[in-house]
Amino acid sequence: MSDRAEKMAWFKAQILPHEAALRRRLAALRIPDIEDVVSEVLTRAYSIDNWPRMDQGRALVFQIARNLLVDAARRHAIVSIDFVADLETLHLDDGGPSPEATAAARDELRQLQRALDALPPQPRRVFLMRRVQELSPQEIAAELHLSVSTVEKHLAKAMVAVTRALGATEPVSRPGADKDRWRRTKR
Amino acid sequence: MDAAAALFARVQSGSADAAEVDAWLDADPTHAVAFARVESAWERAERLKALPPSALALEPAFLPTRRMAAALAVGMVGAGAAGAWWLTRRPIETTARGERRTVALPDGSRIELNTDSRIAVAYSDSRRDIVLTRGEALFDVAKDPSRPFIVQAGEAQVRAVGTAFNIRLRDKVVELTVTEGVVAVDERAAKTPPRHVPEGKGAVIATGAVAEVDLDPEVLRRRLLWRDGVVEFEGDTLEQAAAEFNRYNDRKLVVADPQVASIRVGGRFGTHEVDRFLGALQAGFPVRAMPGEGGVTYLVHADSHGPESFSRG
Repeated sequence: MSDRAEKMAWFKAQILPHEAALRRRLAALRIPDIEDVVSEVLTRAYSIDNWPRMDQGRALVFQIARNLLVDAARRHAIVSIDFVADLETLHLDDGGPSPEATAAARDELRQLQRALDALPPQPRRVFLMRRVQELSPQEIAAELHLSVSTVEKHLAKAMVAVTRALGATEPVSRPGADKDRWRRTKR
Repeated sequence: MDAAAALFARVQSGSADAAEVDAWLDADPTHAVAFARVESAWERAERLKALPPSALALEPAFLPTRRMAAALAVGMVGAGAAGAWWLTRRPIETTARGERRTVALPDGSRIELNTDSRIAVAYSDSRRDIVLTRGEALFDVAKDPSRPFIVQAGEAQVRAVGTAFNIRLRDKVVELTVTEGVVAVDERAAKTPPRHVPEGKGAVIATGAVAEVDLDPEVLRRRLLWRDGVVEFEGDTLEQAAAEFNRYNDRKLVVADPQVASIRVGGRFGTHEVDRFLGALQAGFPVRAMPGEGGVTYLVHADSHGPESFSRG
């Protein structure tokens, strides 16, 4: 595995599972432009130099978010003291998923279905044939009388919707989904 | 995200090459982040496979607009046919490692898939074709004399009218076990007429050869134990027992010491009870289980110090 492949595996195991929790916390603090903040936090987390030694993903995500927002608040010099005080509590969110988060996790499937139901029929059909029935894109193209590149476009469209929906939903920790899986390739 | 999803879709169909993917991912950290998000969503969406097909409401309910209604009226015949296809045919069925599942087919036949298995289903008016491309399955075939039920598995072709039988794809051979009725077995290249194998018997099919075997009722019973999620050993070698557990579990047992490979073991275990098996093994035999990298457990002689001690020796 290349260094980047390992880093992406680390990122998926350690950072991404906390995306929804971060989003929820930012919303609770009424932070504007949540999407931009989330993107910036994720990019900074990905760009961290000593990532192989980082195994407290949740704390890292919240720490980065706090620093980012404190910097932004200082630059604008217009924020209230209350707001800065609130930010200090941002990274204290912890102690694991809240009861709402657990309920939200149970909702993962429902969110997925909702996102799929909002799609036009072709992208939805292509996505289900690929993901659930495990047909190859070539087989799907043959079945639906489409070109492979059209199948790719439908799948891409479905993936944008699915990624958005799941990014806002806390992941269900599955038995067998090993948080430290990325480490196995090391040592 | 749009660009990442587009690239992801092209990787799926093999139309993006590795160099192109690498270059794009390395160009900007936001690219890698977006791609990781798409991949991660894809992995999480695998849960959909656990839902019954009806729960996915395979066609979305939508109310046609006036303009669409006109188009629909014209295209109704074609759309109806496509809809019927979707309802009656789920062409590929798979199970993950450790999973077991029953597939109900529209004619009332049922296929039970064991761990890590894959079948393709193609029904027409004149025949019912199934291809077993991986793993093991038990076929419970509904009677329909006008449409033979034909299973292709490796070099074997098994034809049934109304019967039940189990097929397991092993490394070099196909293993058939007939539990009810009679099936006709053929080797693809063989010039001899098909053999009829009755209930309670089995056959081993290899390239160019079909050998019928009598099965002890005890052997017959053990061959179908997988349906209860159980493995049973009776004088099997440690090597065979390890291979059997490895079929069901991501965590792998590797017999790393020729001294212990031929130890004969007995006992009954759940397909996932690797730890219980290892416990019993270490308690009863001079065997030591050593955890290694990547979820591998090495089985060595109790006197050895590690896999290195003999791989170097």
